[in-house]
Formats: sequence, C-alpha cells, structure tokens
Amino acid sequence: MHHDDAHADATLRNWFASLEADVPEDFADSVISRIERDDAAATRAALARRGGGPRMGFCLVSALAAAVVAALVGRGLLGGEAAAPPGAPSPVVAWASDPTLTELREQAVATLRAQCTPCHDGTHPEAVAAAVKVLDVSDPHWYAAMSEHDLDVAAASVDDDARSQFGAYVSAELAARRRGAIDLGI
Amino acid sequence: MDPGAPQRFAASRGAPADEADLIARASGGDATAYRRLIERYERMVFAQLRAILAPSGRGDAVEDLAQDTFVRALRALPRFRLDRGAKFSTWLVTIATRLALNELRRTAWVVGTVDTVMDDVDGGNDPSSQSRIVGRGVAAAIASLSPPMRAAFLLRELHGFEYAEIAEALDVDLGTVKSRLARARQRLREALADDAPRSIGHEEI
Repeated sequence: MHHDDAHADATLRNWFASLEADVPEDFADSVISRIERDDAAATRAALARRGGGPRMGFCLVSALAAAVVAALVGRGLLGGEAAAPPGAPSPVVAWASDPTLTELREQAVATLRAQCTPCHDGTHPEAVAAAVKVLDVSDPHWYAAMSEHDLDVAAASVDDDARSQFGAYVSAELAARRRGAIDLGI
Repeated sequence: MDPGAPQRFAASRGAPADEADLIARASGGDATAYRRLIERYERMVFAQLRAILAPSGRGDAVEDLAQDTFVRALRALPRFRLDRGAKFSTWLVTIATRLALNELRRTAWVVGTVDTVMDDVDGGNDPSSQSRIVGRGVAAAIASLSPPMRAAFLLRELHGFEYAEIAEALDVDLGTVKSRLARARQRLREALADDAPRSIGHEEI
C-alpha cells in the first residue's frame, strides 16, 4: 500500500475510534428492556384482538390508552369491556388485482395513511414521536424501517376490509427480504 | 464486484468464532445472547451514528437511534442469513446508517463544524496530541460532506462495503454511489492537503 494511503487510512481509523467513546454503561440493559416492553405490549394487543374486543389499532396512543383502561379495570375502577378509541370510518383503499411488490407497498402505505394518521405521519403536526419511530407514512422508505414484528402488528391492526390484502403485502415483503443475501429489510 | 474494497473496520473484519452460536441463541430470544451481541457492537454503532449525525447538529439523537438499531436488528434476527455469508456487523451498520439518514431527512440538518463533532466525542483524548489535531482535520473534512455523501464514504472507507452493498444500503443506484464517493474523496483530499500530501482511497471510479 502506498505510504500516503496508509497514513490516510490510519488517520481515518483513529478518528472513527475516537467516536466510539462514551457508550452508556447500561446501554445493553436499555435495549433489552425495550424489547421486553414491546413484547408485552404486542401480546396485550394480540390478546385484545383475539378476544373480539375493539380494534386496538397500530398506533401507540391507542395501545397506551388501552393499557391504562386495562389497568383501571384490573383495579376495579372501571367495569365491563374497554370502550373503543373514537375514530372515523376508514376510507376505502383500492388494491390492484395482480400487483407487484412496489404496487403492494403503495397500496399498503395508502391504507396506513388512511388509518394511522396523524400519529404515524411525521409531517403531521399531531404526529406522535414514538409512533413515527416505528412507522412514518410520510417516509418514502417507510417499509425499510419496519421489522417483521412491526409488519405483523400493522397487518393485525388495519381494519377488517383491508386486512387480507395487507397480509398479502406483508407476505410479499418478507419473501423479498428472504431472497436477499443480507436482509436489508430491517 | 470490486475486489479493491477497503478492509478496515469492524464491519469488514471476520466475524468472531462464537457469532453464529450467539445469533442462533438470540434468535430464540435468549437475553444473554442479546447482551453479548449488543456489547460486542455497541461502540461501532455509536461511532457510525455520531459520524453521520453530529456534523449535522443531531448528536442528541445518537443514543435513541443506537437503541433503535439494535432493537430492529435483534427483532429481525430470525431472518438473518448467516448461512449465505451475511455479516451481523455489516447488517448493523446498514441499519444504523439508514436510521441516521432517515432522521436527518425528517429534520432540517445543518452544515456542521468540526467543533460539533469533536465536542460530542472528545472522550478524554489528549487535546495537545498530534493525532487529535489530525483527527480534527478529518472531522472537519467529513463534516463538510452532505449526509448521503458522508454515509457512502464511511461505509466504503471504514466498513469496507462493496459498491453494490452501499447502493443497497442507501437505496441508490451504483452510479450514484460512485459519484458520491468520488466527490467525497476529492473533498477529503482537498481538506487534508494543507496538512500533508496524502490520498483517501485509491480505486479508479
């Protein structure tokens, strides 16, 4: 290797190494705790759906509200079934009959825009920061930031009319990811 | 294929011997395996995020996005194809880079200064050392790049990604990758020219 190249490489490497400092000591704990919290929330939402109760929705605000209501019910402060979060009827999204993955993504995000705005719309003034982190329907690459778990939760959360088509999209998305040597679908 | 890809940093080194076992255990939800993987790569992920975000004035987002990076990667581990030659470190760097660029797309980024970077990462370095002075030069030069150019440069020069991998990670075509890298190298050469005659990268574009 040329001497100048070696020097530049070493300089770059040293600079990058200097950026590695100051990782919080409890960082691993915080990641693991978050995964456990997410699992617990997803389990609660899934149980509520299977129980025939109100649609919990994908958005974190709904999940949070449901958790609070469940806690109150558990303490005897509220009786009976939790009330459904208020929401207007979802607009109908037309799905193509034999779509490509790109078309499926467009149709899926149209469904999500219709049903998950404003919480999951990063451009909306009432967007919820934590919700946008999971899904931002304004991001052209919204699907890339969603894990398989996130996609499954979304598929289970869209309304009944869109659920089977959305499920087809999730299957196509996951199949495409599996075809890659490196799964960049995150 | 570009066999001249630099092999420089963690993402480009061979995986440790126990990596496959750790990934298999973590795929099954083993928290101890989660922890081992996080602790192995957390510094690399923090550094990558800082390198992209701090020059744009978003060093405050590094920890949150590092957490997002690991949560998404660990969640998706059952789909990770170690058997097809995929490297966990490469995957992590890709996720971190995408999240950082998404974050900057969502918020107006500013052209950074060297102080933005170095203030965030001072980390006990000897302020009088020659390496720190040179490091400031590199930081300043990298801070002068746009975030997409910075990301492409870091993936190539520090993590040893091939052009096709960069294109896929950044969701751009191969030509865009090559032009971004050429411009980034040129900018770095110019920035470092005052310090000493040296070059960054050595492939023909």
